[in-house]
Amino acid sequence: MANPPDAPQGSLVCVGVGMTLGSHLTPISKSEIERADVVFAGVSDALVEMWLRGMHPDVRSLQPYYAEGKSRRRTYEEMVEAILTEVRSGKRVCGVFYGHPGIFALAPHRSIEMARAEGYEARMEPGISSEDCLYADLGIDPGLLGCQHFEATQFLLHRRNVDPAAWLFLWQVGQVGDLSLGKLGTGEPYRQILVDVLARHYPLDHPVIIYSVPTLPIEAPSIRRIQLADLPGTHITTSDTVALAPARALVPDEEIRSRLASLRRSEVA
Amino acid sequence: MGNAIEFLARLGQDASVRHASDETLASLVSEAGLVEAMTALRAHAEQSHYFVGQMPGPQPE
Repeated sequence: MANPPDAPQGSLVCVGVGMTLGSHLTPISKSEIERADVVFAGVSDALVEMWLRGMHPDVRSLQPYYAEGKSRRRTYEEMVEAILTEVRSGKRVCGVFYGHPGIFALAPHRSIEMARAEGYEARMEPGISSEDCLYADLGIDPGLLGCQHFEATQFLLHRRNVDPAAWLFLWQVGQVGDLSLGKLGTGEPYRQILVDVLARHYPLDHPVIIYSVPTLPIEAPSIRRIQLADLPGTHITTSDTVALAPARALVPDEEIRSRLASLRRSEVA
Repeated sequence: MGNAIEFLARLGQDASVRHASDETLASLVSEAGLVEAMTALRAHAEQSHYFVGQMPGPQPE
């Protein structure tokens, strides 16, 4: 769809390439990449970036914005500014991010928000996320018992209402507890605090799955099964997701069941 | 290394080989004459450590 006549000329679309090279790129995202004037790449590894370079002659990596000791908040602000600079210069810009560009991804959301606020056409195309792959590889249906997802540090810093009858997924555990936002990973003492918080809701021998998606089609998913007490001493990368299975059965709400049964009876009568 | 990337991309979208055994994959790489290119590609990936986070963490209060 073309910009309205009075809108500025630049535009932005953020797309996801999915998690696994070659397997997950949707036709619409591929088309957006190919027709862009400029492509920014926030992807998972050098090979995925090389693959992207085969689709477009002007791919600009967002990787140089990261640095040990530099606040990731500043990193993402600089990414947004780099993207917006090209939009403002009238270019058709495509931001390409690994997985889904709208899941655990600040720069795509912020770029689109700012571009729209300045009058530019901007939108997002979904991609296959790590969460999508997790359901497939671990054989979990989120509709069966429900599930909760938290960013690990946010989970530590606030009193959340954990439902131990549902699945619990913690993201970015590799950086859990990093208040500086500048570490590329945190270690055992940080994960021990996470375990102490989880132990309010789960026994220490509760099974934990550490999962990561393969980025190359010649690799298999990484699925490690440990006990909660062993989490601090287990190597966790920034790509790993921690999953805790439900620890107790669902508790029936008898009052609501009774009201629904009454409704049903009145409809049948 | 471009040929090896194209090979990986084809592999990623081919249901007949996407979940093939290591032996089958090694055979496909060999048949395509890409053993050295794939080795170089893996070395390049290991040397170029990418940071993958796109979320800074909690907002300051």
